Amino acid sequence: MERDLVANLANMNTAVIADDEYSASTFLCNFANVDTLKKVILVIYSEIKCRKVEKILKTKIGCSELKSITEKIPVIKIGKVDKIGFGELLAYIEDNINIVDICKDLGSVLRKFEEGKIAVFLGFGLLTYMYSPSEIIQAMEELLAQTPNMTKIFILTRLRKECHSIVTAMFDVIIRIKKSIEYDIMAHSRVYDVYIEHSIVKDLPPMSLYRIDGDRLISI
Amino acid sequence: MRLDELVNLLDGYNVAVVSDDAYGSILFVNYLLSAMCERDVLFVIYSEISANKLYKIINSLPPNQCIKHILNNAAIVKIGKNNEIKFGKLAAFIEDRGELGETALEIGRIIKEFGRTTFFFGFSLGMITCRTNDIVKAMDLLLSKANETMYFIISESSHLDFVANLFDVIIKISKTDILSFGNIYDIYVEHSIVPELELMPLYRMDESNLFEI
Repeated sequence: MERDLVANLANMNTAVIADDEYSASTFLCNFANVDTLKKVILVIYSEIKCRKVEKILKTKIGCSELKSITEKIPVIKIGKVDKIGFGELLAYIEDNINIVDICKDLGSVLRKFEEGKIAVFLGFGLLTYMYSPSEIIQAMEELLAQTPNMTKIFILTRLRKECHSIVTAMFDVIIRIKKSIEYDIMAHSRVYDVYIEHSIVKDLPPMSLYRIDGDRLISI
Repeated sequence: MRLDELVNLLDGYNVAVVSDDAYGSILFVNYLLSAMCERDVLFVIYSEISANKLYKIINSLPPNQCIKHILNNAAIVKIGKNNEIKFGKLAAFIEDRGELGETALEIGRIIKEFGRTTFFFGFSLGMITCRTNDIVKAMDLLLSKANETMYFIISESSHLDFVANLFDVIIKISKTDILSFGNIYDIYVEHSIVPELELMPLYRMDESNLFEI
């Protein structure tokens, strides 16, 4: 299923909308095998998310086989300082201009990469709290104009509620990671359902994909 | 999980303690501090309103030698209208001119210099008065300087999705509905990127006791 899913997402703009960062990281760590990870470029927005990714990488894959790859994973950072606690910094864009101009710069960095790369965007959900829907759409327009065929996966968590409809409008595929309704908040649980919520891919219709139970991803 | 185990688990993380009211959050801080007897801490207090409230609530709670020791030795950064403090030692006074970014950078520099576990009080007012855009930028500037364990005490719980984006862990404090009156609270993990800290109930507390549930 993993290979099919990765193949089906090639050249698509995908949003993975998760109820929290931990479940999103469990999905990514299990979903991405060694071959997939070698194609990944991480694009991280904000110091806040950069620090979180560092902590999650340290604790979640600190001793797994993916460690050696994530230590060298190429990173493009948009933030306040050009330092990262993991991977190799490929490019740094200072976050002191409007998001539309940032995405224009980001697009020109990303377009230099060969085909077949997968850009995984982290922290861009914060933009829904910082910019208007029209600014976010303009920023996406700039990015898409320069990287029309690149596989892009945006990991988004706890978005501003008013922005859910523009996310559906912007992306080709939406993978949803939702806390399972069979478990309530007061129970000890990290159980989530993973499913395709929206898709323009013929072979990838809305359907259940996996269940996350703790740190495991189980195919359904 | 014992409180000292929780405190150790949260070392190195940015934690939001979110409560429906100021009393519940400061009551929990009182218990947290009692599990940090050996530590020197830094308090960053925003606004005269919050400085007064914090002092009044802590003063009304049952006396505890450990808390007394921590408060006497706490380094205080006050952001407000004057440099008066009622406990601890004033480390810095930042006049509140409404320049959130500059203030965040200055606080970040001080936290780095002290290298202590840091508690932020009064920033729920900022959640109400500032734009989310400015809050994200201020948090980014703060994190560009400081890397210590930080607890943000927030007495306002209507922006949980936004808060979850900013912090590694959210400890949520809610009044129990067992009694309509009285100060009994349930404490649970609302959000966490810490593998060992699942979303789960933790404690029940009132003024005289905190016990695991």
